[in-house]
Amino acid sequence: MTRRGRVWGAIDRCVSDRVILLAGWLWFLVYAYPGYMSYDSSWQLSQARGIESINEWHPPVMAVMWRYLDDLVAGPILMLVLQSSLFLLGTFVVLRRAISPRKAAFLAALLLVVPQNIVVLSVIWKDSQMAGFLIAGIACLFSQRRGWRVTGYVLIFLATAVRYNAAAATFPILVFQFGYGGSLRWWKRVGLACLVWVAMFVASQRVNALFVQQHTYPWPTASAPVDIAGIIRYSPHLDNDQLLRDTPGVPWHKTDKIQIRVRTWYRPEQQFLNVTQEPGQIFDYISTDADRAGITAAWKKLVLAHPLAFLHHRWEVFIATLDCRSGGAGGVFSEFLNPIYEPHLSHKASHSRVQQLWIDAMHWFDDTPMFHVALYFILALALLGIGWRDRTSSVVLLSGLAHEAGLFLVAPAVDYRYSQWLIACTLLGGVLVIAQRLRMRGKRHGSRVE
Amino acid sequence: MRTRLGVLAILAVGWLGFLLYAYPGYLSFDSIVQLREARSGVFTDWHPPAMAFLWRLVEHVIRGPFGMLTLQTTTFLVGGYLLLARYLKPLVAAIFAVVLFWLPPVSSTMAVIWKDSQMTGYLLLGLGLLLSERARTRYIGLALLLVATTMRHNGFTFTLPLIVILWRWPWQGAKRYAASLGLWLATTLVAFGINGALTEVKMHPWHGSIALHDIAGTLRYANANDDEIRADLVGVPMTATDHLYERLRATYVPAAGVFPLVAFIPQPIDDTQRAAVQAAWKRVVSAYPGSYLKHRYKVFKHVLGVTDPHGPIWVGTDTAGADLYEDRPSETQASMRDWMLQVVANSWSVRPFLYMIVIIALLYNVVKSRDRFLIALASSAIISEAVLFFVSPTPDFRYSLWLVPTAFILVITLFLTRARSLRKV
Repeated sequence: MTRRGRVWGAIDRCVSDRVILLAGWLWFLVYAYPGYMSYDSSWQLSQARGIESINEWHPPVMAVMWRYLDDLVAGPILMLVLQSSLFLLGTFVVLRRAISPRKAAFLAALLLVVPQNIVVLSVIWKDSQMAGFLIAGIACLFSQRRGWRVTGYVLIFLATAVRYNAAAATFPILVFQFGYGGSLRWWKRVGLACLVWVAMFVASQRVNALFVQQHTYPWPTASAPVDIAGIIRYSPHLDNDQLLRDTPGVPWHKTDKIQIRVRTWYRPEQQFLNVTQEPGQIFDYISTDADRAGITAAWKKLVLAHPLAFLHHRWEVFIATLDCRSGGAGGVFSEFLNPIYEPHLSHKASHSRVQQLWIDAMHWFDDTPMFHVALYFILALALLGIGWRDRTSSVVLLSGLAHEAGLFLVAPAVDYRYSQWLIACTLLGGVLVIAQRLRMRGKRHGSRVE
Repeated sequence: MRTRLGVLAILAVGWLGFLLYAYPGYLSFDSIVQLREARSGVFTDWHPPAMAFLWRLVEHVIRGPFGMLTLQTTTFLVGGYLLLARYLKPLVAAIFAVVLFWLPPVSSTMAVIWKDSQMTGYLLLGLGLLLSERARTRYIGLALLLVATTMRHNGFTFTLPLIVILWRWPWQGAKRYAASLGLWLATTLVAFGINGALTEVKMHPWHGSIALHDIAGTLRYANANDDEIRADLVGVPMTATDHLYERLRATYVPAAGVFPLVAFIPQPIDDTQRAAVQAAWKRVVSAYPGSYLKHRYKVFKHVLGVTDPHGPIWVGTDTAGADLYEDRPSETQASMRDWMLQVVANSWSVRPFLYMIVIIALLYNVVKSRDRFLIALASSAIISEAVLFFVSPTPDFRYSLWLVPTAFILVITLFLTRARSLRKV
């Protein structure tokens, strides 16, 4: 063997799938270490440490998990390790179904560090946790071993528990994978899968409710006011006095010219703070039981009275979600801690030089088609059309699409991270579909293409 | 393949378990000084600048102490495994490497970003690679020993027996040892060259620390009168001109180094004062050699921890670095720290003389075994510790850390060799 051949042989032996996975993960850590924390993350860590009571604004299961991990190693690092390693290993196992282990490892590492994924997976968010649990859950559910499949259901349950709207993503996974390969007829299997899905959703809500120490009522405080504003915006002319009579108990900021004011200030990409704070304030902050009862009753009444306006509003929010082009609500996120929490959480970190260069490069991609959610939505639909015969890619793509579709009804605001699961699924589904096409072409040519 | 995976798993679990105690790495005052140098890029020679320079490079990728902690601990763990695997089955070697790593005197020191911890890590891995059958790997081992030498001013005393006894040449006998001695000398000169080239601000650590302590200690035990002291210390800055011997007695503490002494004899600040200190040191030591040895003996007793343990455990971040890193231990970490501070810090496990006794006790068996590695290892530990008799500025357990892995490896290997030979009989 030539010297060059020996060198390549040595490299070939050293660069195993495990080495590639480890290198990819370490490379991810260079960008993400020790984990970024937004206001939401800082708030959850504060609850995890018992500085504040655990509330249900974000699913409490995540704060509880963080509490135990923080007891071992203080700060965000173990949560980062959890979400990133689950994502990496899950992606690797799913890819290994279609391609050789080494290629699967390389692509899994690549999918972990591509800008579209790393901007979310580097931050300790429920979205990142959900993505990790979901992809690892899918990987486990494809296993032939019962132990792994049980682990898969546990992971899917955890995914459902760490995000309120994760159920939309888990539905296709359970319908496709529950009892697959068993002796049950398809309709029994699907029926049972639906039952399991409902049970998981209900159980996850119950488990979350168990940990709540202080109620913050996220729906009447945040989601319902935005919906009410949206309905008023898209309704035909509403008589101001009639509107006031129909919505007793609603804490209107000003009671005159409500619809004119809403039409002036309403934007589909708004969140609750935009309608409860100046300059576009419509409501006073929803803070009392009477406010919440008034808002809830008004929401029901207005949705039933103006269903088309409600759908129009939700459609505009959904379009705004798809039109998102930034890697984060305020651009690519790279803060280690929210300044408000600095005195309480005793966490100090700063960016390394390489980290800062990488973040700067990520900012360069911000507001480019790379983060344009609509592209991935269309691509996912197209890939589903091409690769619908392939079970693996279909499960992944349908999960991403279902999760995105779920945002039509429940998105409380517009943020890239809400759509990250769709984008991760599209990228992974794309690789799977290409691998499938190559395999089929190889078969046609009588040779096996890895 | 399975064995390799098992070894990796054991070492990984060992390392991760250690992180529960040490993450992201503790910073004492010395570490903070070096971190500030690493960040500013202005290196002094109070501590060997090679470490601050390395830290600067590591900080390009991972900011803070974690990158350095990873370097010093993974090299220690892997090096320990490689050495033990020469005598034990891979899985058993991995378990013992983790046990060595988890020994409280080792883990408590390796958790702090110190030049001592860095040096120990590179020494172990360098030694492990130096023993390889592959020439290329041996060169990497030698390079690591060079890095270890740059980490401490007295690093060359550790590598002397390792390189001289273990480096392979095609020759035998005197020629081989002469060539090895040349190689060690070259390594040492390169290490000093690197540190010298990196130094931007000279701090003259010997003049400001060891020399002053030696002068005070020697005069203290010489019972010199004020006139003699005045004559010996011509040109040396002093804060008082009367009751000199009494002041010396009051400020000289063998275990405290130069710290209380500077109230009476401040550290020299210019070349003239340094020249005076150097001349005074020569005068005093040559005039009272017995007293000098007595002073060094008193200091060395503390270095060995004969009377009581000294500076054995450091946890958290020194307040001098509060702007760099906020120390917030987890619950688990806090309880482990408490245990280290309350139990280990006062225990016999942090008294270096015990490890020295073990090594000396095993010396006969080491020589009898004719195992070059064991001979080199034991010699390295004894020589490096003995040199501390003359150069240790203060007693601190970390200076003697090398004794612990040495004693551990000697005990394990000799015990097993004996057990095997007994089994054969």
